[in-house]
Amino acid sequence: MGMETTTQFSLRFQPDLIRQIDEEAEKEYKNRTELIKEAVVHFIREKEEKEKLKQVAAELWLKGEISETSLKKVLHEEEIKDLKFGKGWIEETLHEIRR
Amino acid sequence: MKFAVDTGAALSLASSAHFQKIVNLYDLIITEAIEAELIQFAAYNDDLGLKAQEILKMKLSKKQPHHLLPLFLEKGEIEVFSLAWEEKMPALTDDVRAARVVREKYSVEVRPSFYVLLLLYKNKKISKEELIIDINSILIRRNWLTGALWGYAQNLIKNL
Repeated sequence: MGMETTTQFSLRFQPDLIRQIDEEAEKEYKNRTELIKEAVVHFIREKEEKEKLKQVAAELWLKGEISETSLKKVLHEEEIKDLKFGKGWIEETLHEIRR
Repeated sequence: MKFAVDTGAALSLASSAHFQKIVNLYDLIITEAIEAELIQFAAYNDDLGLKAQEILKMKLSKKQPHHLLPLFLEKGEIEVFSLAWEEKMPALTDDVRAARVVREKYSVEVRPSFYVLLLLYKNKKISKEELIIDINSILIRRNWLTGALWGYAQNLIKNL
């Protein structure tokens, strides 16, 4: 396997946070870079998982397979408003084309 | 027909196999903030960066609104919706939240980017098959919301 290309850049953290990072890194037998990289990857993966769950719930609601009550378990109020608006917006656009 | 276009909608339309035809038939108008966003995208050589480079080469019309609508949105979207409001032209955006925000306050005609492809189909400039292929390539799923909604739109479009 070839070496993965990496790019170096600098970050600015408060001294307290750097100390916490270093303490956590030591506990995990990692260096500062490895710990920060792992935390960022974990954050992105977790966000992707949440997004996937939201999308599945929205798709099921659009198909009429789940109720708004079930949707509320996954999406917050503003997100439900966006989804409802988007559904109406798409239907209105297609209606305009059919006229 | 004229359209005020935001960055997302411009990038979506640039993914269409009929982008040149769209630009020839319709006047896609961008603002300074949208041009600046496209320049930022064009700095990268990834897919969106290459699309942004293509759009910038097209030399779309550029116009600024005289007044900005008081909307809690990004600068580019505020400029596009303000221009659409002033010039009484439709605005194109694929940002569902932004479309909702402006439509709650103002009677601006706001359409998703694929509206232009639907117009091409309605005016017999492209076939149904071409429309479906194009729709698949332009409906870029940027988040969970567009992921779900564009899938919904695709199903409805198949039954047009």
